[in-house]
Amino acid sequence: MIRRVLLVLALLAATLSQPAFAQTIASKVDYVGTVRFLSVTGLKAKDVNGLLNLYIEITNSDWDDQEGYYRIAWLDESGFPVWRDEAWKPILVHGGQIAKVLVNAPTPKARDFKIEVSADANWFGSTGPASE
Amino acid sequence: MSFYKVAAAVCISAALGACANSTPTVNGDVRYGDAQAVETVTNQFGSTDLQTIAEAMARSLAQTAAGFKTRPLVTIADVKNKTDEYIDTRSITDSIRTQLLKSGTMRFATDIAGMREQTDELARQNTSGLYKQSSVARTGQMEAAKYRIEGSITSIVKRNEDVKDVYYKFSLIMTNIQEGTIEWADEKEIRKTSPR
Repeated sequence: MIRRVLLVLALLAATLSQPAFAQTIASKVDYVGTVRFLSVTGLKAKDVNGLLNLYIEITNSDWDDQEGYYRIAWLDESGFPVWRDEAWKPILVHGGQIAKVLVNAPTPKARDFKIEVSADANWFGSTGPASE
Repeated sequence: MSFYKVAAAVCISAALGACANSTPTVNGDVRYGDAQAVETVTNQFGSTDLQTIAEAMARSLAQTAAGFKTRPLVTIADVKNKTDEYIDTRSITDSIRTQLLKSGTMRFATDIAGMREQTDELARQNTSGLYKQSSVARTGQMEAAKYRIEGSITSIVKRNEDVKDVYYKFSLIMTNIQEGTIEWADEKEIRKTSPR
């Protein structure tokens, strides 16, 4: 009986210590503008030696190459930033390609994240679908 | 007379107020930009390249150091610039060191570039006779680095009548100083293409 209780407690502790990423992709991605071709279609996260590792798939739904930009905001359990603003990273995704990006957190304090994605082809303000 | 002085002061204030901005700026043609934005002014080595390389290398090193039992004590040696451009490689290694120190995954011993200032200060404290003996930093107590980080940056530039293509490769290794073994290595590649 004591063993069972200890096992349940251990499993509970392991679940609670998991980084807060067991959520939908949409809740983890902020797009700048309205997405046309580049979007995050895959996202995995795991803890490696205390550092959060992310595997991100960015899909180009167009036949032409598309240029995009991304960066990660690293947060603690309460959603407070634990690292300064990252530089935007450029990424070229070929037509129909799924680009794979592997990043790891800069500090063990990072337990959560938000991915920012922008693209040259996105609609911004008055360049939205209604004005085309 | 004093009435005229007050009236003049009010008029001048009103005139200045009409010219003033609603933001705390002095008008000019200079604008501040986003230091984290992707810079594509030319295809020479730029701020985005520096930031991308430093971030990739620091993250990779941090991931390796996080697997060590104790925080490794390292020193940074030169990164050789083997490109045709002037690149301040010290700025890249400074950024890497800053990020690793902030991450808390590594400790850094004084490197060769900072050794002169370090030994000068030690000598000044120990030989000038100006300081309380109890507060003086003793000589022979500096901690030696266990690992040395060094690397290089190379480039391949190709151009035809329409296009200029620049490829950069930044390589970094971490060597165990006592054993002479390379314990970590990583590379970051960047390709930039522009019309001519």
